[in-house]
Amino acid sequence: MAGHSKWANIQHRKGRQDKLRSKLFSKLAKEITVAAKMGDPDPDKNPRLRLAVKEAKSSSVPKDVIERAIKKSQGGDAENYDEIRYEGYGPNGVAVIVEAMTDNRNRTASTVRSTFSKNGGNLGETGSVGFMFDRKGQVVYPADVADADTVMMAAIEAGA
Amino acid sequence: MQSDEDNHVIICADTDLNDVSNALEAELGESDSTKLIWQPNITTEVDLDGLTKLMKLLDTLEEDDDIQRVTANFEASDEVMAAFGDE
Repeated sequence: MAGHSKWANIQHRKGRQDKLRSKLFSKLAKEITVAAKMGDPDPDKNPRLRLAVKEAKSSSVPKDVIERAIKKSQGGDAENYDEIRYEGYGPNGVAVIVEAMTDNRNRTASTVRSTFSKNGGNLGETGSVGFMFDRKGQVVYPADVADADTVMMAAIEAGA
Repeated sequence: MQSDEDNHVIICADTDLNDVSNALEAELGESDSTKLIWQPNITTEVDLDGLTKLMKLLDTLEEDDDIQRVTANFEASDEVMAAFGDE
């Protein structure tokens, strides 16, 4: 499974660069707003919201930004975001899944389509590349939390 | 599960994520990240040129405010990754 670790590494490295930090914050806040709007605004009663808040906290999103994102979902004038998944091929036939949350499907679809075509790829139908991926849960711990054997035991006990 | 010098990465069924992460936190404390992902089951090998072009596509997509997350099933050798990191 060597490929997976490289794939994870680059994701991680990209995340660390932090050059798009404010963008990252707004994306995490959007996920919180959408999750809170779909279910209960109490993270303890809404698993998706709980995960979204946790992910935001671990990326150091300030607490008031998180609270504002939840509050925003309860206001009547909050934007309605549609969740859309785009699938396509990048250069060299690499399969790409794009997850979007948008208040304007037409705008997003045309942006995604032109970004693919300008960069040597092409957008396909939904389902065209999805079979090359499995939906999984992922939990990441820093290496210094414990040694690999201890984490492995904990993972097995946790049912992973 | 996979471990390297930076991280321990635990993968579980998507529907088990809440239970697994709760159980892990009881044992190991707060995680760095807990989320649903698309894990490639087939990967495509890319060279430096391919990786550079692909990263440009992925970065451009990610910069869009409407786009939350982008996942690709590429694979690259250590040499290609190192060369890309140096650019």
